[in-house]
Amino acid sequence: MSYIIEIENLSKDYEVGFWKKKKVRALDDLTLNVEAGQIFGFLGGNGAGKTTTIKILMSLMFPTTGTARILGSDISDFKMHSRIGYCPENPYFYDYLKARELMNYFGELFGFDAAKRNRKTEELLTKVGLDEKDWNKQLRKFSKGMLQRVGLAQSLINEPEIVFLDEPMSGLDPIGRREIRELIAELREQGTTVFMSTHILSDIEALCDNVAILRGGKLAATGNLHELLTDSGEKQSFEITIKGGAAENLKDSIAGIAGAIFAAKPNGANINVLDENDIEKVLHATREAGGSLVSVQPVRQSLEEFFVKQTE
Amino acid sequence: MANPNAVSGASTFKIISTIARNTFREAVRDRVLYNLVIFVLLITASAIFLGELTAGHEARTIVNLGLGAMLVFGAFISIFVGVSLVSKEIERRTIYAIFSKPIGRGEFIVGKYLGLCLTLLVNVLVMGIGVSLAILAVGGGSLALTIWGAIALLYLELAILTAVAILFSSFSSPALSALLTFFVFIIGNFTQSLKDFALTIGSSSGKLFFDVLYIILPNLSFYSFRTNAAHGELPSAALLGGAFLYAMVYIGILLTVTILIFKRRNFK
Amino acid sequence: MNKNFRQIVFSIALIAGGFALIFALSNFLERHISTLPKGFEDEDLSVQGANLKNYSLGFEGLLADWYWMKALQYLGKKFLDSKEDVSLENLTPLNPRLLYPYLDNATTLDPKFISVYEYGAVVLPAIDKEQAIKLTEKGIRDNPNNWRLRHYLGFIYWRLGNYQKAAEVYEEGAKITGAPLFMRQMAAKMNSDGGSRETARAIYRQMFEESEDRQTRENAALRLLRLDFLDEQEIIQKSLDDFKRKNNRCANNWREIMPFLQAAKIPDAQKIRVDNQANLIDRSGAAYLLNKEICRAELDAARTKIPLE
Repeated sequence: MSYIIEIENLSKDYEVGFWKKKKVRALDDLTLNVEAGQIFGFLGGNGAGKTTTIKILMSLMFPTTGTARILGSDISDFKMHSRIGYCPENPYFYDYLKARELMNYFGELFGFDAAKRNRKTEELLTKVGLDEKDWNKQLRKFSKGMLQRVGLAQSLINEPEIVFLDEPMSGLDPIGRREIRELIAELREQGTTVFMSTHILSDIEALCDNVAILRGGKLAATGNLHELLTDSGEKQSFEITIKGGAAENLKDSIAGIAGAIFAAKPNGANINVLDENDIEKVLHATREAGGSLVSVQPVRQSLEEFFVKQTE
Repeated sequence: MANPNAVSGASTFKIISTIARNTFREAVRDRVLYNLVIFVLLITASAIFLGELTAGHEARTIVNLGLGAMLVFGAFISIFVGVSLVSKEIERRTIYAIFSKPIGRGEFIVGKYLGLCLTLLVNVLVMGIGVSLAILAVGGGSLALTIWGAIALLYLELAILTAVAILFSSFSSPALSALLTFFVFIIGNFTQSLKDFALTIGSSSGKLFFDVLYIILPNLSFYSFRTNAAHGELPSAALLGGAFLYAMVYIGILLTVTILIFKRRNFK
Repeated sequence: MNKNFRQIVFSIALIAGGFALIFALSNFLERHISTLPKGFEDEDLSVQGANLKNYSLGFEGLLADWYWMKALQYLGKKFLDSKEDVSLENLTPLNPRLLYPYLDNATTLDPKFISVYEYGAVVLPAIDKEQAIKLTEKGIRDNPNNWRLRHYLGFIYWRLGNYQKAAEVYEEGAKITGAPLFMRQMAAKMNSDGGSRETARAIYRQMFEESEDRQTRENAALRLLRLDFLDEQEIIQKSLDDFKRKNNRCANNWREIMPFLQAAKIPDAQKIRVDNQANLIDRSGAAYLLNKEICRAELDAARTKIPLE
């Protein structure tokens, strides 16, 4: 399997200070490969080097050392950009243009004819959930969330094979986030590779197949999200949710099970056990106490726990 | 990795013209430019009344004042819009979405430059028509037509100035760029004096210095035909042709240097 | 990196080629540049320095400099453009009628701009003596304690042959504190022998040594050369006359009068230089011509740097 994005030993120094003498390393020897057809999560705290990496990939900046290839072409070959899309962080566009005009302008830059530009504009603005009444409004009147939607729409205008999304959820309300999440999932189904940077972990958990975690410009971890979380040496546990019954009785009978944790809830309780065999014991005790079972769930280590551990 | 859906992308010409038209659209939607043009038209109109004071030389006064105002305000647009042309895109990060499309940095610079030239052309045409009408209003007759030779040269001067502005803005801040461009505008109009000065200088190193300065700085005095225009003269074909070629070559050099610098820029 | 390097080399070649073209085009355009309508360049200045003063935003000095440079270039261009030889003693063939307004504007904007008065005193008498006197008198009004301006005015009157007036002006100047002894000497000389070569030499020597303006110094140096030449010419003439008296004919070459020149017993005669072909040469290094018709030593107009009049 060949890689669709290949990053080799990429480093970037920023020159700071008045005389540009001092150097700050923003990205340090990053090597990363991404396979086609997946949603790749690019994680890291503020200043970890996510945006720097994406800007280098987009040829907006030049690496101090190292190389990278997208779709087999070196990143300096801007003709390759006809096959990719990019939505910058907190996107900002020509505010004197209307949403429709902006889409039309970008379509023209790709050489689309008027009919195709119109079709793609309407299709994409609908898809990102921009209200039709806003299509002919100047972008200077747009909210942050609306700009984010326009940014996503323009990144998809050329039906890209890979789309790079830098913090695509920022500025969106909860409903907007869910809509964009669905849109990104849909892209994968259509075969588009999505490379998204974010620090919102729930989005990663819900969407990503593979992730890379950056810390201080260095790669801290990379791999399949599921494997990263389960293979990290942490024991799996199970959460049992109980409704009704005499909580005090139940608590006493569970106290005998090794490693079990009891948490009372209004009209019920949550019980955590470490061993699968202990589930039966809990269920038995529940019936004795007059309660009923609501659910049994395996609990893996949360991404948040993992992330905090990686970036500490 | 062949892809049946691969987009071939637009031709360089198409990209440049698209960027140029968008730059023009930006200018058209900017109210500042209208104000400037209206101001020039007002000055020209005021010349009609001023002309009465010059005892029968109304048309001459209108040409001197009108073309003078055109140059000053045209230079104002060239300098201030010219230096913000690219820097504004970087500052507002609109450039990110542009360069993630299959667009070269050279295409972008040339497109932006031509867009502003188109804007200037429309401005100069509107102002020129205003001056012509004012001349006709005071019975200046053929002068309304003959000033267009001087206007053509004036436009070429503005085109050079815009290229100077865009060059400076490719490596320095907008404020500094505007200042430097203004200096070039002033010195450029005095370069003929530089040359004459070099002739009267004794030391050979001093002469070389002024000679080099003379070649590097644009000689904008080639484009100053306003006083002659007030006398109803037309520039010779040799002057027009030579001035046109000079402008093209000089702008070509400036844009080449600009692109060379711009290609190496990081957008933080 | 290689691609990068090639790109830079290519661009630099392109830029160099561009400037070569610019150079050629500049030369072409200079020949076709819009000359102003005939007589226009001499159109009277529409702006008066006095009016400009209120609108110059404190840049009077700079504007004065500009008018000053403009004046220099104006006359310089007239010289370059003129077809015939113009003597520094009489510039009227050039018709530089804007010179006075330029100098007047410069000194109105900056009344203490002494170099301008000096230049005016040296150059304007060759154009219009009234203007020369007017400009210098304006300078004296604005700088009553500057003895130099009296010197310039005295110089102007002296050149016009008005030795009495010149003596008065030098007399006044000599009374100013700080005025050098020279001023008093001049006052005396003007009264006794204003037209003498010695007076002229004193004036020009002072100008040569004291002037701040290079052009004025150069001009003074030329005048001094001319005065030396006049002395030399007299000495040579005496020898030529002696030879003629003795041989009843004019000398055929300088060699023939050499013994007379040595026998002349005039101290200054020893200063006359001779080149290896036994030619007498003038102070600028050019050989004297012998005009046998009138039997007289003359300057070689084509070679000498000494002013012909």
